[in-house]
Amino acid sequence: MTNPITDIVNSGPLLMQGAAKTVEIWLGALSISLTIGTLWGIFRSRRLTLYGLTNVLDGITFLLRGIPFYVQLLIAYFVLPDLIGINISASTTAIFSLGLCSAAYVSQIVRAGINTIPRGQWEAAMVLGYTTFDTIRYIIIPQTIRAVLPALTGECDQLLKTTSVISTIGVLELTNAAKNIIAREMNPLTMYLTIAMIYLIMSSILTTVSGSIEKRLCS
Amino acid sequence: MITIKKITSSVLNLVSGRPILENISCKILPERITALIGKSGSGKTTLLRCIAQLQAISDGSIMLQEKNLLELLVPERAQLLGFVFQDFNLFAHLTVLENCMQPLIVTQKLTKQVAQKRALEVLDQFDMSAYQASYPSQLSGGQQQRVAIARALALGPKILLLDEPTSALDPENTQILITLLKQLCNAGITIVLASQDMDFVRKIQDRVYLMSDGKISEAYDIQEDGDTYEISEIYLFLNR
Repeated sequence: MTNPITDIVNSGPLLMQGAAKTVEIWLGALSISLTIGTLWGIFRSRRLTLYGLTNVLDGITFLLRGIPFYVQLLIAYFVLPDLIGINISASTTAIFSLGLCSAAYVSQIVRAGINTIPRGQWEAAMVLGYTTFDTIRYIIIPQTIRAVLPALTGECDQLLKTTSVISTIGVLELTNAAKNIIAREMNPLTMYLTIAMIYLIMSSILTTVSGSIEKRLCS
Repeated sequence: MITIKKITSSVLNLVSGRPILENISCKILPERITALIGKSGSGKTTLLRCIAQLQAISDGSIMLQEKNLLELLVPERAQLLGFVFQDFNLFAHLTVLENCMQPLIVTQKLTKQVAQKRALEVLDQFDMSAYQASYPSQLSGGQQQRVAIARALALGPKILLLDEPTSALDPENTQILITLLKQLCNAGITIVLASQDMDFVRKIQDRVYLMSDGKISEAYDIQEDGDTYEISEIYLFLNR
């Protein structure tokens, strides 16, 4: 049996490469998730309901939240390229799949957050001459962020951990890197505990950063 | 002068199923204080909200001299009409100064320096500049109301609408508000308010509309109807 410390040191470069890929995929998916999810949530809020668009958005949300992400990923990687006739890399597929799936959840968080802003805030902005866009930008979003930050942090954290699923389509992220090392060195205990620790560290950094942002906003 | 001509509100009374306001016509004279009084549910607030376009009307027109208020864009209307809500609706995430400054920057496209100067001037008028860094939740009801009035006046409106302005005020602050409204009126601002506080309306006593069941049942103007006042329905309502 080899020394676990030596195993970790020897696997270090490959694990770091995997961790970097995980962060890259996570950041890409996060930007899609937050951008689309926020817009989606705004258009699904009580005061900005756009008839017609609402049904379309609800339908997409139903699909993205109802189908397991693993199945969505398989469809996106193995079925969609045949249907649309374009080859997409595994990393790009992973970023878009993760981003869109997460956007469906972010939209619900944002929608619920916007709906908690009292009607009087919208009306005050209107009588002061704000356009709907200005009202959302200067009045509603800043107050919504304060209300939904804890839930949004939870979703970002969940997204980080879900990146481990994309190893199934061959993206060499952290989990896949560990699997490759285990196949070669036969040391599952050391490797799985090591990547569990790395995920925990990344998650803790995220929680600390969002916690300090929340503290600053609430003070 | 605001001429309200045969307006009917789109919102229906939940009990009767009829519009809350039906076929209402009246005139709001410039540089005067017009009070809308009446029982709860008589349509006072709805009339104010219709003038401010916070509630849609299904019929009629609201003219400000030659301009139809219903056809104005939101920023144009905001420069003519200021509105002070019953619960003030100050922006909770902004400080007192930012509450007065931001509308100037966003809607009138003033620079930050100019907006800040004007906001401080208007806060100073209401003795609120010392609280410029406070958030609305840190202020009392009377202070919040002064900020709400200052915020509305910072945009330089010609007409100020106030909904139940004394609902959060003690007698001392009510007296301060009366003095303030009279000063604004003397400075050329037309004031329209809806109130159930008869003591307050009695002290202001300028021009009063008595509303009941979505209609104006009687009007009284101290300058025109001074003699007939004591036998009117309004007199009886105010002195109940």
